[in-house]
Amino acid sequence: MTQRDKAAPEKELTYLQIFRQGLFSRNPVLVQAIGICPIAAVASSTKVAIILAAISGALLIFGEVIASALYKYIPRWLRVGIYAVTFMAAVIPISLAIDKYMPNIYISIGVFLPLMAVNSLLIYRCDGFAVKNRVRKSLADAISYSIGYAVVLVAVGAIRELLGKGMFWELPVTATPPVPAIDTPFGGFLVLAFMSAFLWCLLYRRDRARRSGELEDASDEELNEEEILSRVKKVSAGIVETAVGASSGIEPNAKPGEDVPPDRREKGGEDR
Amino acid sequence: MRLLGQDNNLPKNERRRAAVDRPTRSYMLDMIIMMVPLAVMAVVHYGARALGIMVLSVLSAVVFEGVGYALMRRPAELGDFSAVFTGLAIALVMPASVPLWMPVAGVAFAIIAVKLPFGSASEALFVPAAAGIAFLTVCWGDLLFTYPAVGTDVAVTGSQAFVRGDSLAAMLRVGDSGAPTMFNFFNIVSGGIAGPMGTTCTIALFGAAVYLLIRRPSQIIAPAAFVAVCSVCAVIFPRVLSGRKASLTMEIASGMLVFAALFFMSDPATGPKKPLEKLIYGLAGGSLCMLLRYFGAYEEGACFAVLLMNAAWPPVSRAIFRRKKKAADDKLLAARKNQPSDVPEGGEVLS
Repeated sequence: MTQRDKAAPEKELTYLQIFRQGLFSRNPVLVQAIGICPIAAVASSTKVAIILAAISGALLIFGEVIASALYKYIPRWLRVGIYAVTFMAAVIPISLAIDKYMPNIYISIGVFLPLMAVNSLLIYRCDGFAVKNRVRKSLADAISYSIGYAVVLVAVGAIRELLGKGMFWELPVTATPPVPAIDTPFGGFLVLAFMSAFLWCLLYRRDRARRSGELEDASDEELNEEEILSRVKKVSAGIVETAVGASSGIEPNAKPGEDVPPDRREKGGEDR
Repeated sequence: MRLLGQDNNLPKNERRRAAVDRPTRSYMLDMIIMMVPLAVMAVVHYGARALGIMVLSVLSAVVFEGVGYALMRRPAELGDFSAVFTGLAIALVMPASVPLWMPVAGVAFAIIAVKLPFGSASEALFVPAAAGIAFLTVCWGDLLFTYPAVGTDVAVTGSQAFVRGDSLAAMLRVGDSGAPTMFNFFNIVSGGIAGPMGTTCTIALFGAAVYLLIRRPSQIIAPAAFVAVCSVCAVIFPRVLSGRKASLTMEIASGMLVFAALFFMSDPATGPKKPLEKLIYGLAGGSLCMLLRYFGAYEEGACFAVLLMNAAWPPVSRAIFRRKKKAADDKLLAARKNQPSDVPEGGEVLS
């Protein structure tokens, strides 16, 4: 992904780019696999997922604004600890409030509520973005990332509630749960993996479409798809042949077409 | 469908042949031949329902793979028979009473989530059939481990009513040692006890092992080590009170232990290549399987053991064999410098 390889913090990003990254191309959960723990462990119903999303969003906005406003001159080795203290200061009143007004949800979230204070997503965004940017940009970044996180969280919660418990918003939909195991962390990882694969597929397609668009602009002559394919194939076959030829000491009788079909090698390289 | 990445100048039959992965096809054909007696015994014990489940499973595997390749816009490599193998393997570990959608769900997970993202059968990181069975175990374990009694007819379609039988694995789990007094030995090894429809007939499984030994002697190492470790565990730490011999018989004949060893541990795509590595691979897999049986959440852990070995083997082997591997590489390099044309060890690299 060319989008991911660019060093984000050094370049000034526009607000649109910030929002697109947080929601889509650098989605914290599905692309970067950050902050998976509460999603896989506790987000097994829509209600809990929405509460979790609200807490993490509030913490992220609070933390990033504070970090970009106050923590710019603190040395790096000290900063991570200070983030944790800051978030803890915010988590304690939140958890007390949830315990008072929503005791059931407090029980079902359990230990993962205090763990939010050291969530990797929060600390990663604070140290990776907020302390290097202005307050307004940090606020935009926090909002975009918390929306990106919340969308995934609520989607996973809804899917797991529907499949694992056979309910939606605590109302029964089916008589028996269709796949009870989705309710366990196993199901959380499974749902996340499928969603992640889907998003990667979209990103990959977009990337490829962009690249082929550039190719078309560059070349004057019109090639239809078959011709492009045959050219690519010839080149790749040549590469494989030279590679096999260079290491011909290994097995002189090896036919490159039989052992490693050139198209497969090319495909494999492209897929990974 | 347009066939991508193929030489369009070749005649049509040549092109089709070029798309087939020959070593994989030959291995898969051997595996399918080894499964035929198991399938026959399943039909003998459970009648038309067993046949229906197997046909449905294989058909759905072929359909999923064909559709998947079409969606990926790659030439369909159905000719390597790996889809047939996956479908048949998943069908054979089902109980005959299983709802008909279950093998289809397992096959769908095996093909779509485990095999196709990595390419073809020779490139998969995990044995697809084992992953499908593990998925079914976690999701619908209660249905998967409820077995009908042998000889009772389960309706071919629809109705769920059947006479329940006690499987050996369930007896072992609760420490019920009544089995050897209730059944004679031949009854146990010929599949006369409730269990997965294709894997209870231990005689047919050992026949398949003999076939594998004759056809591919190098592939029998890991399965043999796997079963050997399980046997030793069963003798040393019996779970039943009626003696070590009964414990050995029950552990080996129950569940899908020998089946998983023969068909999943011998997979050349996911397993190691060298004999010593195969031996360690099998020993570790067997120990994991017995640990999962003794302390795991499910009564059968063989497919989890296979998957764990698939996942753990590359780093583990790198850690164990680092020095040796480096020395072998140096030797190869030196030999290549001196005599580029005849290096006997080179066959290991490409095969």
